[in-house]
Amino acid sequence: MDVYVCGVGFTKISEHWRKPLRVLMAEAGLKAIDDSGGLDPELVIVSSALSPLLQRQSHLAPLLLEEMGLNGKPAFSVESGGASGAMAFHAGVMAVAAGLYDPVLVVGGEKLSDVLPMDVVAALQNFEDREHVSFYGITWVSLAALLYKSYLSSNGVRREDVASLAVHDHEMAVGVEHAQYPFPVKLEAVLRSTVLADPITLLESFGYGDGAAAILISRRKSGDGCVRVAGMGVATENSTPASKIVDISFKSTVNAAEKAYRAAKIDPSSIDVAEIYDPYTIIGIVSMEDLGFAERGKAAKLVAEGEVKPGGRIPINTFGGLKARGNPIGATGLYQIAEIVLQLRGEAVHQVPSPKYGLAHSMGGFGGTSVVTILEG
Amino acid sequence: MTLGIAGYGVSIPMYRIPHREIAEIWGRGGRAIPPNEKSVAGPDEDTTTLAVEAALNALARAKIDPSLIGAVYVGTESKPYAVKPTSTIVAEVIGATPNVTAADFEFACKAGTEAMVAVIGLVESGRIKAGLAIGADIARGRPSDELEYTAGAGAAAYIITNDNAILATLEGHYSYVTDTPDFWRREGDYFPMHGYRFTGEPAYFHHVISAARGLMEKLGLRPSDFRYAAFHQPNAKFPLKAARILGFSRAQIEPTLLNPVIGNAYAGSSLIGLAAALDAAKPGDRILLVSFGSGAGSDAMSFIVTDLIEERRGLAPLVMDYVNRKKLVSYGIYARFREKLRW
Repeated sequence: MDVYVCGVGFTKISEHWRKPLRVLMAEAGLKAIDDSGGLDPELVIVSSALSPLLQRQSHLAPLLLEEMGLNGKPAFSVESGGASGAMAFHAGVMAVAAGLYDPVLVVGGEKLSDVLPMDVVAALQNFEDREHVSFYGITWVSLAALLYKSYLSSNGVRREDVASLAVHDHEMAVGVEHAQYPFPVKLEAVLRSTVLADPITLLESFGYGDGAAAILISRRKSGDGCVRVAGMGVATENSTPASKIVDISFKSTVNAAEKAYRAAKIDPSSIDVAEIYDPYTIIGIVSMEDLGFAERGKAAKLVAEGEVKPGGRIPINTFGGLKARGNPIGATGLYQIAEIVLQLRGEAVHQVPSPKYGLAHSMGGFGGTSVVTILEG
Repeated sequence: MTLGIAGYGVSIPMYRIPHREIAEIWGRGGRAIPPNEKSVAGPDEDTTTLAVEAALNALARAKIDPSLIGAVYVGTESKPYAVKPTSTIVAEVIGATPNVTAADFEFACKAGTEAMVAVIGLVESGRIKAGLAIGADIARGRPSDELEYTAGAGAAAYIITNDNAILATLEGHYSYVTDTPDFWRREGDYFPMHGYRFTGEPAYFHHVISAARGLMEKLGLRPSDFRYAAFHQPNAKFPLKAARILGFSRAQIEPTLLNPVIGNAYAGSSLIGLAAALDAAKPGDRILLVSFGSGAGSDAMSFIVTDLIEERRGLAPLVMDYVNRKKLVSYGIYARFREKLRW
């Protein structure tokens, strides 16, 4: 049974000092409803990975529904770390495909700027195993740095080629209204910026921002803007970070991608545009290889050679990716899917020529969960 | 009856520590560090000594009988005593006691201008003939925190009257205050906490710009009507950006921009900037003062300099005299002077 994305909505990713989380999320939700031509959701699925820690607010769903004027409707939250938005979308598609609810609205949001930066670092650490990983003080960026070193030493890859993903992301964000950092950066600036965890620099890392994104899902193909959900894959992998660093691969991404390609009855070469999860350049590079867009050790070169721009072999992150569009954790997966929808509709700022299939890839923590979504225009 | 500034004076400690020295200690030496310095109070200095010296300088310029001073208010967040006024010590030293009202004001970095607003009210109402308002601080910044680069020391004192010769006439005042917790220090804590980027747009810029625009609207003035503008200076960048947003040129704030050479003297910061503008001004010049205190609020004031400035300016050291009288210290000496080593 076919399921469609019939509406998308999102806010600019920024420091929204004057808007509470629920207000930001309601804005995105109402925009998605408007974009669908006014479909009235029967169910709302909410995604915010850090609000229980950063805003001290669990049980967001009834608050959001009241803010949106949907008081009384069924609603619940989905949490899968950094993959929360994509997982909430997955749950929405399941509800519609099962014939239980139609249409379903999925709303994700996060506010990282109302709290102290060290509190955000600590909250993000909770995506890893508290007993065996984060308890020891290992942060997300330090895990990524170890993966980076492992990648460079085993593949003989140039560090500059990995870092060029940040340059690409920024180039793609130029002109994108909702992007957090819509300006270009030079490779030298990326390499010379402050080191967060050797070799990862500040400009190879996502920044903290606030944002909300929403998607309206239905079986009814109402209007021309609808995009079909061609395939989805979800996988988990609770192995130690060390195995991912040694293997230079996230098994959850490999497995989720395999399922999604099988469901869509296509292979990676059919994908015309993709949104890759790249909180740090190296995670984006390794994910490209896990998704089958490049051979092992070859993704960085692909990026450096410009093959990831519109018109290139595999255009990625055409709205700036996590680096330049931004990464409001629980909303990020929905931004990615919304951006693929815009590409398939032909409404992107940096438009890929007549794309048929688009892919969005999200990850929770250091590969604990991966969600791969394939849409068909 | 004209109300305004009868005398002004500042005090800035002679010791300086360069940003580079602080950066190297905390492992940030590899980056491009601006050649900025901050003032460091010596082992025999505290907020009271700085306030007293600034008050004596103000008195020298005002040539006023100290017994006529009916109010002494000190704005600071670094009182030597938690309970016991700094203002009584200042009042005693300058000879304003005993027929005087004295109190310490706290409003983070705008406690000095808040003291000034209170004095203006008493003078304007006729309760007192003259009053002394001081902004003085030995700013505290936690070692390795961003604040440590700029937390400096200094004081500025202003004698306000409507019964004496005036160096600068007060044209108007406008305050803008909200409950915005961008920077705070709780009872018992030695170093303040801050909200990082929250201290920018929703705190400093919102209040400074709102107060400046509010005053200009009230008085029917535009940025081009002012010769100089002195903003609160938590760092070297914020006052420049605020000036740009409001439409002031670099030349209008250049002489008041002291953060790169002395750091942020908290309650003394914008008032030392105003003193630097008075040092540079010619009769007839209009000067804008905009303070900012975390928590948060801004006081904006407009002054017009009178002919008397030329005659009185030389009666006490200029801001630049204090800026140029300097001795560089190492991080070790600074740590000892500022009691960073605790055991």
